[in-house]
Amino acid sequence: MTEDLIFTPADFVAVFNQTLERAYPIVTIEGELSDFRINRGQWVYFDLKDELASVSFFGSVYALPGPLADGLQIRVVARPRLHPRFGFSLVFESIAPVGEGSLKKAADLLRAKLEAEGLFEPARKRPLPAVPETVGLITAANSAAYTDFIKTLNERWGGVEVQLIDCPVQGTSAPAALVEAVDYFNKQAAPPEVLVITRGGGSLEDLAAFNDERLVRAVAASRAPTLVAVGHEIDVSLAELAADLRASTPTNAAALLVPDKTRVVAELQAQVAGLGRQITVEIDQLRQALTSQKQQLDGLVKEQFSRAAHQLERWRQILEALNPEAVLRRGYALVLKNGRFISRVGQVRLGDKLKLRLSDGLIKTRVDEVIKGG
Amino acid sequence: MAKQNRQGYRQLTAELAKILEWFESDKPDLDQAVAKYQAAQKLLAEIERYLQAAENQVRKVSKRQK
Repeated sequence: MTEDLIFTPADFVAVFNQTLERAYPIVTIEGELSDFRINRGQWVYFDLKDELASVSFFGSVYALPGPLADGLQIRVVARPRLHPRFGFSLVFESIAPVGEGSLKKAADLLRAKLEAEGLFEPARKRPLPAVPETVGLITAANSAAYTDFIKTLNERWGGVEVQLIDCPVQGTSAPAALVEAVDYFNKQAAPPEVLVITRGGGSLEDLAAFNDERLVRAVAASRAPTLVAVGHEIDVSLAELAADLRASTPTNAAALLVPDKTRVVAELQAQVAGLGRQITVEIDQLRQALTSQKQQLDGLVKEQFSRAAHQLERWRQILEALNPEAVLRRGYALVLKNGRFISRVGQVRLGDKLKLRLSDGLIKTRVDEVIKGG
Repeated sequence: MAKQNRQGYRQLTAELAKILEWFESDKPDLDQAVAKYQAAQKLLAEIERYLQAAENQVRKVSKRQK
């Protein structure tokens, strides 16, 4: 029957592609990368080979997980098709290095490339808000990582709005999904204050998405500060290196993200108590100053009093010295004539009656001789 | 919740920080210091109450929203 069918080349290509589309719409092929090349910085060509065969692939640089090199063992998801002009090829959708050796080599290549671009520079790191109010969380919602993160978050702090994007964190779809989630948050008019991308530990293959160039660049370019936590202590993923902050585990991510409220309250209590002590010190200082001023005043009053008493004594002595009674007590006498004191002999005549005032009484007498200058 | 948070913790701690700064600045007037200290104690109590009551809220962003 098919012998009777005669196709035009275009019809054949169309029928062939339809058949392929039905039978193998998408295939996954694993093999050794060879003849890898990029044309005009945009189109990627390579072959995958084993001992018996080699197949050609074609695609866009945007679907690459990072720099690749011949000899790497990779797994490629691709759509087979017959091109009307260039023949059969596989258009790749995703590529992932497989096996520890290839994964490590691919990560090393990407790390060297991005390091040269300065993507991991400490100067690029931004501080996370001390207490974020909104957090964009990108992780698998049914994972232990999510549970650990939320549990620790709830234990330490409250009042955070967590916007969760449930996202695959491993497998071929993970890199694109993670990038999409990062982009989603960053395209918001008001992105979350921090993006947290996290997952638990695993093999290098499990963690491959976090060494994917697209994700690493998305993390580095994020408007919102990023905190990346991959529960793998031995090798740090490139996404972690590109993040503003890295945490060792999802639990550690929550601990770095928010403070411990018990500790915060204790610190604030200590600060406020410090104010109380400061006031007490102020009051003590004022009291001391008042006491000192009072003592000074007391001293001044005493001194003034003593000076006044001394002065009074001197005046008393002067007055005492001037007191006529005292003079009389020393043997002097006052002479009165007709009730008036006299002090010169010229004021008396012979026969005048005089009174002599002594300290203890009067003597009446009469002048019987006057001697001048005597 | 986040809005509540914004009006809660950040505002309260900002007010408390102002008081702490005031104490650190000039030689504080004692009458004012006592009033500020009382205000600080009140703020601290409010912060404690807030932190005891505040809960985190998880909102799942659906693919349709994306």
